[in-house]
Amino acid sequence: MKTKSAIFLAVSALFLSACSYTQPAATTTATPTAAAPTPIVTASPTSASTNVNDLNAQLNATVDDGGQADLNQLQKDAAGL
Amino acid sequence: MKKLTSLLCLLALTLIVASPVFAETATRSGKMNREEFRTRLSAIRDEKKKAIVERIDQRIAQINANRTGIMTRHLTKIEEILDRIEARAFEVEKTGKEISAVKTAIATARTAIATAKTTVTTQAAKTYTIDITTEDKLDSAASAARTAFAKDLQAAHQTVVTARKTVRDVLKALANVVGEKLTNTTEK
Repeated sequence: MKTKSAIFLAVSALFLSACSYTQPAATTTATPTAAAPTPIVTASPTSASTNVNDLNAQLNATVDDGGQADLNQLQKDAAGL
Repeated sequence: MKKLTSLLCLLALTLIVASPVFAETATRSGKMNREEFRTRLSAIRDEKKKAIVERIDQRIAQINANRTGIMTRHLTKIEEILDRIEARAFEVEKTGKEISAVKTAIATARTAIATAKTTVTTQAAKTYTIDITTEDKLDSAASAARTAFAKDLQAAHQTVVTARKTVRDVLKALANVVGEKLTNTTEK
């Protein structure tokens, strides 16, 4: 009976210690990294703004050539045929 | 009971085995076109021309995926802007101002956005195959595929431009109601 209790306690202790085990912090020397670049702050309007000119500026940001440059390049690529 | 279970198992197995066959049948027509294109492409003797045709074929698919992706993102943004304009319009309405012109413009814009979304989705699913016949007709075959693609892509882009323009019209109507001066409204 005593032996059984001892085994039970030992197993429990092992289980508990395994659960609470935390990996030691890495000891490798960290390579110095370059300083993080300073984020470029642009004067674009905030997305939450409901000012008509801010909203208009955001609309303007969706303007593009519709792929015309790609289509022109495609035409050039076909020149050798 | 055992017989019934065996029968059900057999039926399930049959379905599992047969389903890929059905799926293949559904895509066979599209697959045949591509296979035929690859076969005809490999038959071109001029390696330089072969490379050009192959590149054009790949680039059309790439440009289509890229541009329709951009159009979709822009439409999402345009719709988001419209939502904010609408929210502002409702706030303005609460102060007792007349916003019926804004509401009408919003309805028009919603329709234009929906049309553009459908067009762009359809465009994204399109494929263009260069109809290779003889080597001396490679130029015209590539040109035909390229022209058809360009026409479709520009048409899809135009729906995005229209959607943006209608949202800008909503903005103009709102600016008119609130008495704010709107600048830089020229649609490029």
